[in-house]
Amino acid sequence: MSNPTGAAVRVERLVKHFGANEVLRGIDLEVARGDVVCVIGPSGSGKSTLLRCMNLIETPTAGRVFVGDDEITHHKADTNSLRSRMGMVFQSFNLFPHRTVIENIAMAPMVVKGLSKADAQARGMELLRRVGLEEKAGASPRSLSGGQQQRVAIARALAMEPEVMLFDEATSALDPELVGEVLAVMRELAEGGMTMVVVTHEMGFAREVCDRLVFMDGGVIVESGDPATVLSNPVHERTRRFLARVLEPEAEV
Amino acid sequence: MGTIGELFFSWDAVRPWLETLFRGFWVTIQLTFISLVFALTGGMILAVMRQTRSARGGIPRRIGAGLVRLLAIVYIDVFRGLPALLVIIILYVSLPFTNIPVLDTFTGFQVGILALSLVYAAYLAEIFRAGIESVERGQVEAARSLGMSNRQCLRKIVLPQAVRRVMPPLLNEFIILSKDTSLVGVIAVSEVVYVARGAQSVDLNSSPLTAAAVMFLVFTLPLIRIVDRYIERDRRRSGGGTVVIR
Ligand SMILES: Nc1ncnc2c1ncn2[C@@H]1O[C@H](COP(=O)(O)OP(=O)(O)O)[C@@H](O)[C@H]1O
Ligand SMILES: [Mg+2]
Repeated sequence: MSNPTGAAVRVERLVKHFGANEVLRGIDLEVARGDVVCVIGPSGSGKSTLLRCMNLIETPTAGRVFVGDDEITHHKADTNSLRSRMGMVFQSFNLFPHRTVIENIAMAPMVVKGLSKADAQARGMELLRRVGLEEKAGASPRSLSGGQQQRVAIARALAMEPEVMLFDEATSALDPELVGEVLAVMRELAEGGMTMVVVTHEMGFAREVCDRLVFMDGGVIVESGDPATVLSNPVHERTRRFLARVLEPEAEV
Repeated sequence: MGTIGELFFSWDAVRPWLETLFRGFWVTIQLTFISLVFALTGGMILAVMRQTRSARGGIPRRIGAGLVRLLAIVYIDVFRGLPALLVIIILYVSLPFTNIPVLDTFTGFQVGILALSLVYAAYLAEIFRAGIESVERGQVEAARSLGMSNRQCLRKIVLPQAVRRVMPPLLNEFIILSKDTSLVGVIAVSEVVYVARGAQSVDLNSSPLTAAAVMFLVFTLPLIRIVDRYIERDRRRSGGGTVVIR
């Protein structure tokens, strides 16, 4: 049950099958407190599945996941409370459309932690200020731009005061001109010492913000290390091919 | 022409029966609303039962979840497949001989409510289910990732959105239910159709039936307008469409 390494999150020999499809084939990943790990890799390589298994949106076929000292995959684990220690940000935002922005943020602290409405909303306003959207507190999520919605989604996850934040392609659904505002919030979060696992296609963000870069392909971690090194000097042929494909269009511009 | 007017629209033929007719319509209204409350409750419970899944947990929990689901499916299918009239008659003639406490002393009025509630719970369950299934998976994932339990997620996130989306078919079902209360007349409950029929058979004039028809329309037409307005509004909003079944 114990996690002697003292990491913020640790994934151990994680395996996930969907029927005959072996999506994760034994992932080991450890993220130290305050570190930002970026995960890159081709579409279908299992990046989303990895994040989803980490907070048990998907049930792993085998392997273990630790949050701090606690094993979330343990059969006796209090899944809901362990899950709330990890915040998740989705590609499609997934704000609750039947609630206002501030209610989106205050809901989980009220429902899960039993905070009063006044407390939860006061803290929610603080978070909204942090993501630069306090004037949108009473708005419906529908009325916001994609970038604004994603910033609200980040604030909503932060409201549970998670120890780790998981980002699954948080900017992939956004119009190009809206990507920057979301990345800025994520960057600030990283600088504030948040432990983060970030699945992304934004190589600039990976290069500048990450402490470690992980390249996944075919359900395994092919290569992992210092971002500058992995990006400019990849060891593996598969990494090199992927980076050539991803970085080339940028080079042409 | 004179005889047709006399036969259907004679105020003189209605006037002596007016109080009886209004009392009958009051019974109709009671049958409708009391059955509706039970059917909404039962339908919601059935819909949630039908959605029961257990991804985690041991074999016993999975079997338990499967049984709950099966129970709901069997109930819904059986009551959707039976004529309401048959259910009313079966209950009315059988309950007095069952020795089930309370149930064996049910009045016709109470049997009517029971039968309509049982049948309409099945219909409403299907509507609620369609609503629940129309809520995007991402909503549940977001709620669960925030630490909400399955139950909290259902109550705070899924059901409120589901109910909003199925308001038109729900109102539709409410209109049909109000009309189906006339079936309870078959067990001599004095709802408006039953008393109007009685009045007609005494005087051999159809005007009391016309009066019953007018009472129904006064009640149902506004509801029909509301349903239309809902559908219109949702069409304009395009985005998340409403779910229309049956
Ligand atoms: N719920 C699911 N059921 C079946 N297969 C799935 C499911 N989720 C993902 N997969 C499969 O898992 C593989 C990896 O998907 P994913 O983790 O989304 O990759 P990535 O995020 O790296 O693009 C894909 O082949 C996908 O079809
Ligand atoms: Mg993905």
